[in-house]
Amino acid sequence: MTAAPQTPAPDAGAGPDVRRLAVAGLGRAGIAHAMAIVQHDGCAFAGAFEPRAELRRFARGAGFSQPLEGTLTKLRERSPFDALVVCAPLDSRAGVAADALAAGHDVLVDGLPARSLAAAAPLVALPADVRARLRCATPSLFHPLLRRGAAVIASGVLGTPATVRASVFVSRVFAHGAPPQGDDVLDFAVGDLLVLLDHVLGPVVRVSATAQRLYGERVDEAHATLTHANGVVTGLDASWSVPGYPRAAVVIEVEGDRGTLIASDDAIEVDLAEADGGMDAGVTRVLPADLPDTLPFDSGEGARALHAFVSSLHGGAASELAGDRAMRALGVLDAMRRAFASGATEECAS
Amino acid sequence: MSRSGAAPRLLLGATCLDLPPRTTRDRALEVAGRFRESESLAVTLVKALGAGAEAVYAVPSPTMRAALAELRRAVPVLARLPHTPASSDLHYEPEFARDGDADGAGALGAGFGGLALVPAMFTGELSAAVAARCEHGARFLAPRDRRGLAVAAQATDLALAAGNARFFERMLAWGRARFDGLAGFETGHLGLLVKRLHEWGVEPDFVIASVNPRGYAMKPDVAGALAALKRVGLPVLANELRAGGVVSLEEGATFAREHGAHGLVPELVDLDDVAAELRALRATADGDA
Repeated sequence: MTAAPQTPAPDAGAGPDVRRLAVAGLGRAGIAHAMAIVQHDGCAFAGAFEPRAELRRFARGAGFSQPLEGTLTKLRERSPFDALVVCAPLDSRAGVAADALAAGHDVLVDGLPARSLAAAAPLVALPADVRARLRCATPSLFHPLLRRGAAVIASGVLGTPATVRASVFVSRVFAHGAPPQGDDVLDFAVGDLLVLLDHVLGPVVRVSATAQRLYGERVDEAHATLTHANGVVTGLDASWSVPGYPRAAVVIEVEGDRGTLIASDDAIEVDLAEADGGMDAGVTRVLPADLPDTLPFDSGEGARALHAFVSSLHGGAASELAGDRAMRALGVLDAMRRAFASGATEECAS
Repeated sequence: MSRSGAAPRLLLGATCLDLPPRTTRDRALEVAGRFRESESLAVTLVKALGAGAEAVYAVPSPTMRAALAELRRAVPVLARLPHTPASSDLHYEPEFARDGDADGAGALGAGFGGLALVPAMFTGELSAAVAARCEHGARFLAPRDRRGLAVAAQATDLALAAGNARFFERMLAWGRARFDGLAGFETGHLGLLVKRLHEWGVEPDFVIASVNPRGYAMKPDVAGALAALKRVGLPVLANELRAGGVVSLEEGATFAREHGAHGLVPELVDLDDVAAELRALRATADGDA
């Protein structure tokens, strides 16, 4: 075997039209985004900031040669960038995103920007035109099957939705002595589903909800009834534990007067009374391999959203990334938590 | 240098028991239920080897260890390491940054092969942490069962994206010393990996990647992945043959072979009659050889 040459700089030679992206937070999502950025033709990796030295060392050891700093200010001094992808822990995302927006950067937040609207106060406090540059990416919006499902609903082939059910099950079984660290099931999974529902059916205006706590004070199961602004009502179920398979299950079921849809991260089934929208009457089933996948480098569930974000920096549309949708989801989460406590129907903050 | 003659032609893939498989949820549940009892899995492993599989491609998980413990014979295992459980997504920290032995000291047990990692331990280069995790997994495999090491795609593709040529060189040196002389890489990015390995002059014994007629999970695209299959001297073992269940195993295997795959890795979720289907694949592989 010959000796391997020096590690090349994947972004070397980036042209003037290439946007320089930095990453905030070098956890698993931050590393995945750094991977996607260095391999993306439309952007260059400017570097990252991460307060924890051991995570900066890890990223350096993985092979990233760009500046990795402990603060946003230091990173900006060493390596100017156009846009920031915020992958910081949930408790610090809003502050980091607000700082970057205020400094004039475009911002993509990986996931929701906070646990609640109150925790998102730094973003709420920004002028509207500044906050308009906030983009948020939740995984289900970019899952190919769920995207196709959303397109089917939007096309109107199902007719008027009469019954909607949505669920997210994350297969995790915790011991009583070792409950989930940090996030509860709302933080971990429900927020993602709420953003998808907002995209598919419009904003949620009121909520009634119940919760179960199996491993301590955190919410482990949630059941909710969501009323959308257009009058559609969605039944929502969420739970940690469905033993038997390791992958989270996100499912939306819509029953309309002209057909039904079951869309999940596993498959889509559309059952139409009459042929419409390019589909035959009866059942049409779509599996992942039936859909085109044009992403040249896939570093995980954030890669498709990053691709859309980079496109938006070059003038492309990216309505799925609208930050106000994520902020509305925070308002729904707040309302759900109030409903858990009050047992009453709660209005969502607009 | 690569020893392509040593790369297997047919493996039974059992990683679907421990990792999110690319198949329908119903099928995944069905197969998981079938092999919930370690005796069932043990019998299947023996049948697979009898039908011509040269080894089992597996994570040395509790499920697999229990099955191996049922057997009094050697079961060659091409170990997919480090184990990357799906529940890791509950943690903020990256997959290979959480361990106490992330400096790689645990991998020094590889004797002479461990020397390949000494520079990585001093610099914090990724191979030290990954080898330490591999070493932890290897403890659960009896020496008689070790057939080789396939570095998990999560580690391979991280180093690949970051352009970390040293990682590949060091993991090969260490893996060959520790896993009976055979080491390679699993990847989700066959086209890019083969291109970079060629540029870097790194020659693994094999690469494991998706190959199927639908182009499912073939990166950067179908044409790029198929071109990589034709690279002389780098054996590619094809998995994801059924494209998540939308084509037959026969169709997937034929496509992979016709496009230059050196070997096949059908997973348990791809097989209904394990012995019969592996026997048929073996017969075709022997006919091609």
